[in-house]
Amino acid sequence: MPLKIIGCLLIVSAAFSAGTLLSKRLYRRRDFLSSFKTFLQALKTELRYNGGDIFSLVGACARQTGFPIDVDGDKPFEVSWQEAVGGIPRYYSLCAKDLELLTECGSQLGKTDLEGQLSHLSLIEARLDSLIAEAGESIAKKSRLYKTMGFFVGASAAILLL
Amino acid sequence: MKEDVIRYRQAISCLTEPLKSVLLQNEAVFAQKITEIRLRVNRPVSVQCTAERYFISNTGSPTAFCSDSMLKADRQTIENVVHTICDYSVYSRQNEISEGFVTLRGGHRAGICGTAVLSSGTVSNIRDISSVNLRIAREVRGCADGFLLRNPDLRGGVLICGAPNSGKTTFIRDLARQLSYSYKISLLDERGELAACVGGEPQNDVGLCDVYCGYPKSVAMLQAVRSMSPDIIICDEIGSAKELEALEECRRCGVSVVATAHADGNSGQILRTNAFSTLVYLDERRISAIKTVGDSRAA
Repeated sequence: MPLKIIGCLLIVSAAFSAGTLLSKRLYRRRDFLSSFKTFLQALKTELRYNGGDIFSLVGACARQTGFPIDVDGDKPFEVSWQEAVGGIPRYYSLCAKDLELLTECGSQLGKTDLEGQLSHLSLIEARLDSLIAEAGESIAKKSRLYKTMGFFVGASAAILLL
Repeated sequence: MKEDVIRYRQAISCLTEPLKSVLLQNEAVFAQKITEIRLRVNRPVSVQCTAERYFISNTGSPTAFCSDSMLKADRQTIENVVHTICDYSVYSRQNEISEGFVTLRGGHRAGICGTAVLSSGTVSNIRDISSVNLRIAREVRGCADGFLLRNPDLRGGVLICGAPNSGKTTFIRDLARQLSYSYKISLLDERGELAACVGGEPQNDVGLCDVYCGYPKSVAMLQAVRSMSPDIIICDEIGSAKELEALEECRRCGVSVVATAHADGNSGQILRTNAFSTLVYLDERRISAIKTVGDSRAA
């Protein structure tokens, strides 16, 4: 009997952990998008006041804000950015829309005058805001649900075993 | 590797495929004598050499005759080339672009033309770029040797006169390099043709000159006199009223000026500043005459 109880407890905790893990993915996505926004704001400032080449500006802003993107200066910027976006770990649980916005951001960087660059980044930022809001809603709706579901699925399995 | 080949490769590195490969393939033909590569939207690519002009056939071989089956530059190619020459950072070269050129590593220059974007009556940008003229920089070290041997003391001021493409800039660059080891020289490089600074580092050998890069010449002259205590100020292509005023100020402060001017430089206005005692005339990249201002006025 004690073994059965221990087994049931393990099942419940495993299912609850799975639910928590799923819920954390939602937070990671939101945090990534928020750090992207901080990166964009830093990039806008650097573009306005520094005016260095795009590789060094992006590199400096990424380091400053902890945004996980690393562009390689030996290739055309757009290619380099696309490769960097492709190399973002799945850990951040980004959806197709997020990746599309990231790619679009890099497609115009460095190609226009300062006004054009700032307008482009503002447009990306506006679209990013709606993605951040959507990620926030997902957390509100699904985070507790995943945890509760995990717990109840584990509990149901344990009851069946008992 | 020969310097010509290094410079040629450096200059064509900003071009896109297939143009870059084709020009690399013809390195032996072009490296020593190339002066310009001209790209025009949907027109054949032309390569200007010292004495002749070439087009590139679709098979990649150079020919002196232009026909329909030539390698052409489309709009996308031109756009990509502009992005490359700006290091993928067009915004950081905005001032140069609105002036109509971008300086590349190695001192090469890309002239740009298209549709002007005007702001308060001045060109603030160029859109729909239709032509790119890549001018390959070539330093001729020692081209001022003969002149310096005959005129070792230039502190009376020297005006170098000649028609466009007569070698004034090459001559004055070598003069600046050589003089910088004997005098304190301030080099005013408004259009990036003399020192061709990229990131503050001169791409051409200008010795120990203090380089004022991108400053209007009239402003740079006054700043140099006030802050760098030069023995000689060297600059390219003077002529505007403000520059002449600044020249007079230099003379008053006892700073000599070595400068170039288009045509014969004898129009009077430049000489009336009394900033020059010697006139050097260039023709087809050689000194054709050296006169004193007195001779010139008497003539």
